Amino acid sequence: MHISLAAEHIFSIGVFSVTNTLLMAWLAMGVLIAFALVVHRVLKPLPESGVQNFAEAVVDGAVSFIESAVGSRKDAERFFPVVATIFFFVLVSNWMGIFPGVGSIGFHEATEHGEVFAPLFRSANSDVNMTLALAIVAVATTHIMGVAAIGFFKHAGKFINFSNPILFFVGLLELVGEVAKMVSFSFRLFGNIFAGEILLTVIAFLVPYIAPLPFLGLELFVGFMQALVFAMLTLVFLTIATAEHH
Amino acid sequence: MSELIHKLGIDWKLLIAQAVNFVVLLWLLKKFLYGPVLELLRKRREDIKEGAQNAEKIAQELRQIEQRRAAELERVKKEAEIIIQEAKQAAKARGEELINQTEAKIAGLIAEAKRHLEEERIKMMDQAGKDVKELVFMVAEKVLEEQLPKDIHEKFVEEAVRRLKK
Repeated sequence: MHISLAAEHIFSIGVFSVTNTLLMAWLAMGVLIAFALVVHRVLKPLPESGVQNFAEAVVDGAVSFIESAVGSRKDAERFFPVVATIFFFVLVSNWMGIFPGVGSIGFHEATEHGEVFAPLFRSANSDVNMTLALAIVAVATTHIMGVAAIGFFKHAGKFINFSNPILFFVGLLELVGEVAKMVSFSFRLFGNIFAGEILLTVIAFLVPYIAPLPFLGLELFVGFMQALVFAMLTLVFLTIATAEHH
Repeated sequence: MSELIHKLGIDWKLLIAQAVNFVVLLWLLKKFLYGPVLELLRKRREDIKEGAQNAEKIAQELRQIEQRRAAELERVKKEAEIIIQEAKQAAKARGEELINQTEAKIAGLIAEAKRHLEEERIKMMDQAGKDVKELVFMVAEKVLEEQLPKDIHEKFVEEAVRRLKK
């Protein structure tokens, strides 16, 4: 059993190296985009399809949920796209990581450490590149929306403030906090999903039948919880960033 | 640090690729899923609100129409009653008039008949008087046999007739 923190290289497009996690991210994107296109096609003022009912229920449910957290429908609809996309993307890629074949279908690759097994698919969030990218996008979005909501100088004033020494140091701490946000965002998700992958691999290695089932259920739950946590934290940061005082 | 980054497999190119992936996904979902569905939901909410308002308006109008209809009905009923009353009175008056006319006519006829009878009677009496006069005259002629002058004789007869008439 070989466990690698880094995602395995699968093939290259020019000089660009495609890893198995990037492949899974594309698949997850494909699933979501396909769903969006299907919904877009069947959308009618009076719902005629289950797909539309499902999409309406999901979208309205998500907006209402966000509304209950931020207080106004307007803000909820403003924050909704980025929060919901984070949630659905993380959820779908986490759950796709539990599919049979993910982590088991692959090929043997010669590396400097000798011949190692490289799975073709690996859960997208078990790669720090993915989670860090999500974290950067999420934090960047909070700043963009913060600037859009209260103006550049007011927003920057939360971090760089020379009006008095206390606020100056608070601003420095806030800056450090922004970096810590990204790190905690990315390593929380990465740690949970990577650990889950390893857990499933180990259990399946020890007892191949029946025994992994509870752990699969557990991973479904963890996948959902991590998606929810990532999305809700993003929502909280968005709310804080767009507020005048914090 | 670079050791850690290497071990974690952090690769700037992959990082950027994943970030771009996410942004593209966000944009596509917003364009094809969130936007249209939210728009649809908002429109539906507005439609329902408008429908409810319209229903309220229609109900109100219906109530007004109902009230107006009831008032109209009441008015028409009263009018009809008045008309019927008038017609009844007119009919009654006409009937009385007819009866009066008829009674008058009958009275007229009776009077006429009485008058006729009276005339007839007078005529008969006259005739009878004449006849009696002639008869008396004749009898007297026979009895007296030209013993009296003619004018005195007639005077007698007339006197007799007059007395008879009485």
